[in-house]
Amino acid sequence: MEIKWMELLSVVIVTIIAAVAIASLLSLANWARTAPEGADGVELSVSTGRKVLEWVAIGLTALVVLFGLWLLIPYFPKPWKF
Amino acid sequence: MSIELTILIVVIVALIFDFTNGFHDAANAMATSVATGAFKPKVAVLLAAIMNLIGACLATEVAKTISGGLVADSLITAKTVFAALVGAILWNLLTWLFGMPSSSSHAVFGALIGAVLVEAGMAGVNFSVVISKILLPALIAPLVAGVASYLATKISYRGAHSATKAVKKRYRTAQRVSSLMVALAHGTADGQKTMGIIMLVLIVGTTQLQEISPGVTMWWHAEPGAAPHLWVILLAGIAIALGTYSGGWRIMRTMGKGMADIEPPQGFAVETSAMAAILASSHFGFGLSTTHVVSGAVMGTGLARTPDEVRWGTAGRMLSAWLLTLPAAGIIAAAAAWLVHLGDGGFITAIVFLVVSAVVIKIVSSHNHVSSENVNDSHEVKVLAKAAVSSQTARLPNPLLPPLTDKLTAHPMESNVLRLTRLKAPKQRSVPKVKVKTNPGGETDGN
Repeated sequence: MEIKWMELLSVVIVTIIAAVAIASLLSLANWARTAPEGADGVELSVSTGRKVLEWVAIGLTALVVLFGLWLLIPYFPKPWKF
Repeated sequence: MSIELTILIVVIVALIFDFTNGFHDAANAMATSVATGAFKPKVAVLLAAIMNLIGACLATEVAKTISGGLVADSLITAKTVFAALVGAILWNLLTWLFGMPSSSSHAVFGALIGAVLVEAGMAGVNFSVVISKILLPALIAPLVAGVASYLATKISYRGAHSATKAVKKRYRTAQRVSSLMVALAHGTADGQKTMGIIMLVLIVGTTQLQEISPGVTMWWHAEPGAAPHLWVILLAGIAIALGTYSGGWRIMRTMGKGMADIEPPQGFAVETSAMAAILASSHFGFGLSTTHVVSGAVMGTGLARTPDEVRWGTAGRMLSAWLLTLPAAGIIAAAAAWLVHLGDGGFITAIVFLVVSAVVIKIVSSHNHVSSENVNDSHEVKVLAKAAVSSQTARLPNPLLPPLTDKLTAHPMESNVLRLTRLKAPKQRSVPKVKVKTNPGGETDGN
């Protein structure tokens, strides 16, 4: 009986890393988007740094999605194997 | 019965299987989106159907063997395929009736085993492949996706301080994108399966015809290793798309609401984890069932909020359905193969049995009809008894949820408003002290 244990382990690791990475990026973007509250409970404005961070995180998420599409669509060449 | 008629019947039955595959697996991509309101039900299945059609048309090479080494390929004939398809279709319909997500691929494998056992006995089946390609992936898929979904959910709920409009919109958008990708992946994988079945039947038919009438070629002529005909690609794609569009609402309800009540961040975590598992498994050559992956991810996200969120009874019934898939589909296919062996009369009897069983299942399902209009009204799919409506079985509100404000008057469990809560209690803010001045007359001034 041939069980490809290394491939199985690769699937497990890649799945968990990919899911955590995408969730973290989107979570980071959402954290940067929501303004912290001041001492009196009023929301402060979002700083420029947080806005830049938000859009960088969204951009990286979009890149991951496009990478997924590239993997998914058979017509696109896959020069290397994982 | 002539070769052409046999081939025509088997191709039609293969397309019917493709249709059942479509509505059975529509929930994999869209159940969480429908449950959270990211897509309206009819829009969800329309988009999933389109993505399935595109995916099926994008599949550039069909599987080299439809069994993947499970059974001896020389034993697979048009009638073996027919018997296997009967087993797979009826198992798909039965599990649909009970609203149980189960793997269509495993149904085909189990049915093939059953049909080949009647044809050639135990020698025709490679049982080590059963373990490595069916049982082990069935065990691994929900675990992997469940762990990934659990972690993704925990991270998602830590992301925002409050549920602003932009954050809610972002999670819904992310959920829509990931759902569409799962639908596309399903189309590429499952569309080519039926194409492979049809091409196999055409190749076998061509070989048989050449033996009887050498040199004669028909319009459906197919050589071994040939790419699928355009009409095969289009028909398989359309069949799976139509099946997806019909909705499979019973399974949609179980997948979206039956195991756990989920919100958009959880739906996003589920579909993202499922997508990651599907892509990773296909690229490392380790096939995982989409159904098992998504089901495991739903359980994982339910566990990530509180363990009480997961309806273990439904999860247990689903696990039973998974365990029964291989033997049940195999038994039905074996019965069909035995009938087919009796000759043309047995072949026709098997067809009549298939049609009558499908009609009976459809009539029984009308007792508790689940459609796009009521898919979110309950978490239960009942066959004869009435399903409980969601508000009747509402759980106690999550103690971490903020209290209802004046703007939110609906019951928390019935509200579509996204509540992003921290998983730990918010910090207690100190209340500013108010100085109270006491007038000489004893009256207080609270300014």
